[in-house]
Amino acid sequence: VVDSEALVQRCQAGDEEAFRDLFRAHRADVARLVHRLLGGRSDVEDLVQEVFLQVHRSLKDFHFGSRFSTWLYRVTVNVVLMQRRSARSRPVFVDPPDSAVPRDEALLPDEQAARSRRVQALFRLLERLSDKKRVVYVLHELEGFSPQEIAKIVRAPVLTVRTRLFYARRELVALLREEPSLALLADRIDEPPPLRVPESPPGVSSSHKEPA
Amino acid sequence: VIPTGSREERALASVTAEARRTNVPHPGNAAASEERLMSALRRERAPSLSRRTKRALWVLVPAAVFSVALLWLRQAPESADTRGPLSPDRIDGDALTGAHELSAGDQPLQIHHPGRAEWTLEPGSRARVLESAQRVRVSLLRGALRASVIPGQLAESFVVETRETRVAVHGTVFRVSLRAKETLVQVEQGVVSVDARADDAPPTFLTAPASARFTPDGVVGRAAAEPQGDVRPSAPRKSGLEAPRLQTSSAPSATVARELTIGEVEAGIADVVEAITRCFEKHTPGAGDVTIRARTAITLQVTAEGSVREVRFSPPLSPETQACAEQDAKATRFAAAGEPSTITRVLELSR
Repeated sequence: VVDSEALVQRCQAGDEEAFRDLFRAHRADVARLVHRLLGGRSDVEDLVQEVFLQVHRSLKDFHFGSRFSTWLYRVTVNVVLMQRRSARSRPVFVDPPDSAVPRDEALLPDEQAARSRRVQALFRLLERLSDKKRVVYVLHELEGFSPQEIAKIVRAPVLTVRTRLFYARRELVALLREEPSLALLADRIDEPPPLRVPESPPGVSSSHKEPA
Repeated sequence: VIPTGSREERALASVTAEARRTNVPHPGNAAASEERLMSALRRERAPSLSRRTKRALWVLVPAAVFSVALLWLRQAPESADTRGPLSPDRIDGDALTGAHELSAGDQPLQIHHPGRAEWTLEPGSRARVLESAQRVRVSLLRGALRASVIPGQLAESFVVETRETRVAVHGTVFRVSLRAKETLVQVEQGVVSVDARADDAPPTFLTAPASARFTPDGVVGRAAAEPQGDVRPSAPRKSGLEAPRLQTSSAPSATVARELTIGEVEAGIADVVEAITRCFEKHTPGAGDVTIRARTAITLQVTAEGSVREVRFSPPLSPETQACAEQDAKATRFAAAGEPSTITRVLELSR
């Protein structure tokens, strides 16, 4: 288990090796959040680099007022939002559909493709939300942060977070039928799953765990 | 918790769960990503140093400009004075043109000709600068000056004129002192030629250390040792000795010893020259109509009693001529001067 706080203290003392350890410990988490906030776009690696550069610049200002992971996610969200704002007038490079959603070996090829289409459709819908609603939805529904934790990350009251979540869901529901794969899913939601499809793994807990 | 009322709501919950379960593709090579990050950090550190330097320059440059301006303002009046010929203690001599007259008050006046010469007009002295472009030519009107001349290509790069003399030098340190009716020339280094204005005789060459007095009627007198800076007018001291009449054919030079008069030197050197000429004619074979010439400088070390202790020739003569000349020269007697002397004379011999 990596003691992030200890690593941060060493980084603040100028220990470059500690920063390497911090990068190794949190790179995957940052990359996952960036990927989800970006909706599967291909510049994830560039933004991960930018996040950690920003962390390195700002680490001296981190005074342990919150958990390091909370602070790290705040930095990540800010970097992604800044990138999105600056990229609005520029073309966006999107990965081919198959690369955006990795294959799940437990699914048959047709089910794999159908799931991939649905996930991509969800990201397209998320793109249509405002930044604030999208961030809250991704952090809560995909990353598993509680509203209290999200409130610290986005520096907003908990009630505001809950409100944003409510409206994000409502907008997504309203937009759902605009995506054929999701409309089909809604039409068949009550049908029993095919027998040949193995049972999905248990859901992820809604409370965030500090990455090990 | 996603509401599960409508089909759409349940579909959203389902696809959201699918997205949550979907592992995000690993973004590239972790080690390469790490190195890329560290390289970026190193690059970022360099500009940060540069920014620090820039901030320092923002402070230092105005401070330096202010300091230079302050220094310039402080020196400006002094610089203006040094360009003028009169009041400052140190003057740029090359800036003097035409007939600038310099007058030293209680303090000596230093005149500097960059790369060529420096001279000091002693307290109470007065001089007129006649030339300062190619050669420095100074007319000493009162008192004394001491000059240090750097050797140059010009034959007479520094000339001091007085009523009695014209002292021209190539590279040397010397002092010219004007008295009531004579000029004292003291040579500390090198050689100066002193041309007495009143007669048509060839110039006298003074080789350091030497000093001589020159009177208006062209008489060269023995110079007693005097402390430098003594510019007080003194009563004329006419030596009564004749100006040197050089016996050799060209470019003669003589060293005036402290305790030997020119007349005593000339009396002794005439015997030496006669002996050397005789030896040269004896040991140099004749060649019909061909004239053989030899030029050499002879230096005699004379003891306090007047005997010749050592004879040197530069360049050396033939061994036979030189052995003969040394033997005859050492037989010559000078007046007893009470202290050792060195006499140098340039000879041109022909047969």
